[in-house]
Amino acid sequence: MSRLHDTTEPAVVSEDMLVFAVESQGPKGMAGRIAKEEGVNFSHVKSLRLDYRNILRIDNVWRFTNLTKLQLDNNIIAKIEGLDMLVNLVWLDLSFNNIEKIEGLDTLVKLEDLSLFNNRISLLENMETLTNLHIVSLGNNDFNDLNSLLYLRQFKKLKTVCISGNPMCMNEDYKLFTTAHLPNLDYIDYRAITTEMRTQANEKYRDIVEELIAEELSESRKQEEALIRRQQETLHKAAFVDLLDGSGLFDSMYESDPDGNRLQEIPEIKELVDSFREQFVEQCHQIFEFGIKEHNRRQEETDQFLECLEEAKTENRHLCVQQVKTFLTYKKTVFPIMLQTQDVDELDSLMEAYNEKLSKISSCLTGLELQLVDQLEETIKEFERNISDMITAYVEQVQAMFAQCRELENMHNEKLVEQCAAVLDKVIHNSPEVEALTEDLRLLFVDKDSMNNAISSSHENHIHEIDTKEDCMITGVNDWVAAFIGRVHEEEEVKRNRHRIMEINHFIDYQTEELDNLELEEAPVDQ
Amino acid sequence: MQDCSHGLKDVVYDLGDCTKWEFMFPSNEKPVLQMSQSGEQLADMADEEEFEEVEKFIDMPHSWSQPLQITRKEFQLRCPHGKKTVLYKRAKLEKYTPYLLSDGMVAKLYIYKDDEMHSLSITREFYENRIDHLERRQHNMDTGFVTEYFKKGKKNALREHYYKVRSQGPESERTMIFDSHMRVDGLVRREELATEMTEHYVESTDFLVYKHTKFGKRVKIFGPSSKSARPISCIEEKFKRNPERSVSTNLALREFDIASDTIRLTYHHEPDCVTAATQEFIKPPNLDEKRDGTVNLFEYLSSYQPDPHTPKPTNLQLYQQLDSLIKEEWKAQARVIEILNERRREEARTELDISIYDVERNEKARKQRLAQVQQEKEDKNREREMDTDYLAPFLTRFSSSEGALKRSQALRVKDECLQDLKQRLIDKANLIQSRFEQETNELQKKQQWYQQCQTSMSKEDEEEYLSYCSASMFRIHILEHRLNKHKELAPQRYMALEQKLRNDARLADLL
Repeated sequence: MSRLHDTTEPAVVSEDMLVFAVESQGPKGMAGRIAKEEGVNFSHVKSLRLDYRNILRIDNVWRFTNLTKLQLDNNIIAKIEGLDMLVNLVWLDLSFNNIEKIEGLDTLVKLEDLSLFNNRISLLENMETLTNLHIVSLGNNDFNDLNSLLYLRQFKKLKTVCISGNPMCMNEDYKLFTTAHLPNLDYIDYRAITTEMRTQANEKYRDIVEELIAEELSESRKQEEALIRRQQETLHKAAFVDLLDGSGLFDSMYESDPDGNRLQEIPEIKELVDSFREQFVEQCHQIFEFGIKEHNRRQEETDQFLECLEEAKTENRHLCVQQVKTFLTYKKTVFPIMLQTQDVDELDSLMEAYNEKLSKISSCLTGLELQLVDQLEETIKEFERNISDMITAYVEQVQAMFAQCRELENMHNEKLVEQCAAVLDKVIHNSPEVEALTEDLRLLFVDKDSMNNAISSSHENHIHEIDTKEDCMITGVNDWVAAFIGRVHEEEEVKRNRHRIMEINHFIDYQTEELDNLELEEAPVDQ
Repeated sequence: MQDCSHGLKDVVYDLGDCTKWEFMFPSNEKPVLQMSQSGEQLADMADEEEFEEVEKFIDMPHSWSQPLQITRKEFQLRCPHGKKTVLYKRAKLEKYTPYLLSDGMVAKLYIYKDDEMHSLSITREFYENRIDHLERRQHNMDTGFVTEYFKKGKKNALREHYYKVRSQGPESERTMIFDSHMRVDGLVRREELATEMTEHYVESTDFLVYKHTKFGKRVKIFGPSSKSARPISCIEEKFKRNPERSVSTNLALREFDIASDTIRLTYHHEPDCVTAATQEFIKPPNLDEKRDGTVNLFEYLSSYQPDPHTPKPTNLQLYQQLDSLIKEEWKAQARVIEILNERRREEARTELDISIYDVERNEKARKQRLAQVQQEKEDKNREREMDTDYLAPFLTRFSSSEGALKRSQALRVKDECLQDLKQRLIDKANLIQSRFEQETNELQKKQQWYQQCQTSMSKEDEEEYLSYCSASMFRIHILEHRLNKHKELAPQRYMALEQKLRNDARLADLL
């Protein structure tokens, strides 16, 4: 590693160097001459070799976006950088450099073969995203601890690993250790793992490995559970019923309500709130169920609608393809005749027939397209009608249900007022039970006004929360419908139609052009 | 034995008499005609018999006839001359021993339409041990079609083969059915007509499903190679959609229009497009590596993309694409020619497959055994020769005189003996020399002939000539080598004989 370092200047990855490398490694012969004439286009290069060039810093390679193989071995690179854009890399060779840390490889998710042989790396890290790794070469580095190899367990496709020449390989059993801890491997240090070796390794490290597996299993289970939970949450959000399954809404009602919370310190009121909570949660659950049901119905409806659209489009497309095919077969038969005929009149009539056919197919394709547009429009309208009916019913139902919620709240409020009046009575009469009340609470019960204020503000808060939720459920659905319909209009009607019309026109143009080209060839024959 | 010349009149039925009757049962008791007995007695008898039968056993008498002597060959022949004909109603069956007929036929069934067996309807031939795995051939006289069925394990996985009986050559109408899963390319069916060939594929790795080859008119070539292949005018290949590749690189149809030097490509439809992308290359003239300069392939290409905004490929990409296409075209042509040749070769030879354990028929095994026997014989001969006296022919002349030889006689014997050896050595040298000259002359003549008619020579003849040359050179070389060696060894041999004569007990005293 100290070689050359002191004697020669480090090289910079310059345009000239890259062009030279691409040209010298590119195709030979005729292809090479064409390539030279056309100039170098870095984004078309598939593989690049920049070895033995004394490069210090990886630079200027971001334009090689289609590169699959990059060799940077035998340089003096100190840091892995500038490779983020090369997302198509499958093979990366960084052996015989001065790298100390693994980094900057996160975006290279297609990487299968990574060589970091003969560097100064001491830690395996920052490679979590490289799940496609098949071969990793880590020999002649500074790995001290065999346990660091456990990092490689996450790569399920890893088949070959090279680790010899590291300090940790002073341990005679390092091969057995690796075999036992990385059971997917087939080769260690470029030698196949024999069956005996595998059994020996498994016997030796069975306990540790089993423990490891158990740990990993529980870890993965946890992740799965989290995933399921997340999926459920997104589903509830999509159905606009988040917080409604369980006591979510109720809790949020009391969250922004300090007075209500304070009042709960009185045992009687606590009882009251508990029973209210029970009823309210029950009501919420009903709304939740209804919301999920409605969401599924909407989903079904939209699925059906999209299916209908797809069907209509496929059918139409089939017809169009058939038309195009018949035209192309006609063209295939008529062109040779045109080329062969010597008779100018016949040629003219043939060309006329061709043009006629062309205009016919043009109008036919456009007609089919128009038909499809009508069909789609009708379907979309019908869908709109259906879904808006559905939404109206939904909104009514939701409103009714939330009215019940408010009813409950009102009832609860009345009871609360009664109860509080009783408490106030006690406070005024200084009954002994009141002694237990905290200072905060006592402040509420200073006089009737402040008590009423507290209660009404709590009530208002609650009603506000409920209103917000109701609003959210209704506007959410309306927004969703508007967005969906808008998208359908945009994509299925406008965009698709434009695309198709453009395609038809382009096709017709091309066919006309073909005839013109044919005539050009024809011209000298005529004379 | 009793005299039976007068029939059974004088036969004495005293079975216990060993001189009159052959000993057969272990006891000497005469069989007694038993009268009907009561059930009890019978039961008793049965009990007793059971008891006694343990010791009684039947000793089968020796056969009166000689043991059958059937040689292996006769046994395998199955019936006299290995042929048998059986007649049924409206049918005739001929059976043959395996290996009797050179084409391996073991049975032939004729099925007639009428009871008089005049008009033939179907013949079926059954084969065994064919090296081409032919199992059965059916010839339908009404339609004129022949169907051949092959066993599993044939090299090209052919299972069935239909063709018209009148036109059996490789260029006639035929249908072949293959075991698609036994073939790498997944071919299931090949139909040939006089000017075209259609192939169907199933589950081929390159997603090929259909291949259609058209042949043009044969161009007459004058010269020794009369059987030139039909020129291929067009190869058309259809591909299934490869789900792993993007649509734009997914070929649906590839046409090599060889007659007009055009390659047409049609791609699969993009999911929401009604037209498919097409490319049409006209092969630029002299597109080879040796030519200097470059070529602008846009002039030779007409391409249609359903989306007019697709980026245009570069000239280099086009060149590489065309280059690989042309290579594909060569490959496709070579394959078609190979298919036709394969069939021709196969039809030409009808060898039988012989098990290596069949020492009678397996030529190689038999030769090896014969060679072994020969070797043993030669070894014995050599041993015998060692015993012959090399001086005997010279000594016989003097043997008439008294026992011991005179000195002059001994000298003469010695001289004659040496002279004889010398003569033989010279003869041998001359023989080698003459053969050497003869071989060289022949080679020269052949070379002259080759130079004269080199231009009008077919490839096969040329190859033959070349192989002859190398063989001849080899022979010349060997002869030269032997001559040199002979010259080297001759004096040594002479000296050795002289030495031997000097030491010979019969002459030593006299010399």
